[in-house]
Amino acid sequence: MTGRFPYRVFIPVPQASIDDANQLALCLGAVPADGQTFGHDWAQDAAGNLYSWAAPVVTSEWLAALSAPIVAPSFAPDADLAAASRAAALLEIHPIAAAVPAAPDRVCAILSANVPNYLAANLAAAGLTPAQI
Amino acid sequence: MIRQGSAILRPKGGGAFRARGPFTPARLFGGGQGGIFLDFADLSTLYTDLAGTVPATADTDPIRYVADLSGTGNHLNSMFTSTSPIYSEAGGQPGAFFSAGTSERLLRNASYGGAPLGLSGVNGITIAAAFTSASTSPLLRAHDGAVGSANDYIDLLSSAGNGCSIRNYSAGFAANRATVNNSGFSDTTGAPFVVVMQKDATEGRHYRNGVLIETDTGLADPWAANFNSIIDLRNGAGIGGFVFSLFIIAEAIGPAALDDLTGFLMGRAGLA
Repeated sequence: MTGRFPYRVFIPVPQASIDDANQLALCLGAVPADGQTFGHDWAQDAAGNLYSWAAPVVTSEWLAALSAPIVAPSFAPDADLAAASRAAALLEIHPIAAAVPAAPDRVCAILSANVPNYLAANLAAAGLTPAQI
Repeated sequence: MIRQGSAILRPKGGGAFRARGPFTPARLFGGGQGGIFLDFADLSTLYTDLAGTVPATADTDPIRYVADLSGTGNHLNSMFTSTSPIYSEAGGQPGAFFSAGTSERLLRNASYGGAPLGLSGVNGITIAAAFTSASTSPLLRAHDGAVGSANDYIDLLSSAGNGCSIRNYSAGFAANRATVNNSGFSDTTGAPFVVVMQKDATEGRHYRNGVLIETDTGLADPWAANFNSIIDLRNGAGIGGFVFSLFIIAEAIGPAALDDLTGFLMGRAGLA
């Protein structure tokens, strides 16, 4: 891997967990708007279950921070830590070569290289197709 | 003063010659016009954080803030930390690569502050961009920020069906477009190109790669639309693509300046 931001993390969040995932994104983010990360781009699995996805460009440090205790950031002291913890409990991250298909009861994130055309391969690895809401 | 060999040249009447460097579109804003000029090939204008404090320095860095070079302060941010284009040299020409996510965009609105575009009630507009063709999703949408049927839009697309337009949405596309759809503009092959739209008093013009491909007449003058609040720059919802540079000014710039601007953008797109 080269570059300061070597990775993409494709994160498909089941529809029922979007609010929780947004609280986790807020706690891991840098600005209050990060609490609205999920709910814009959508995909669905073969059974028709919906997922909202985001695909941040990240550093190795960002990945390491996932294992640290979840705390409310200074810009959002009232972040819902219980919701963020629920989302974190569902989160698994797998390299794209060993990706686990998306499922309604978990958040199966996919780690891949930060390259321009990442999306098609990540959607396929997750067993998803784009969806419009 | 300019030195030529060992001689020192002085202009008539004394004083010094003013040295002129290579053309840059930023020079066209000398009259205080509203607008925006983004140059994604210029790494010094790109930042990896939403606040614009951490410079981008390398290929594949995320672009979460891009500085406006027009002098009017219309800097753009990505929506969230997790949704941003990347600076990429993968296509041979440096630029911002927007992938297919609909939330992967750069925009400016009231929540981010900054100056308005200053395009209200003007009689001339020039919009120019160097980018790769992508999808049916607009590359650029500038509008008045009022969600609903009364919006005014500047749209720039590479798709059939809409083409490029400067329009008053509420009054219908055909009656108020400065430039109507041009079917010859449809191109989603991923090829780079340069598009320029102009409204010059009652006339609208549409250029592609420096060639005039369409002219409209009978446009309202001054243009009453209020393109003031939001710039929404993306290249997604399809195959994704590059944006190399974007330029908007509240003026129908003259032929010489238009040639200079087109040449600059052709260079950014790798076409010159």
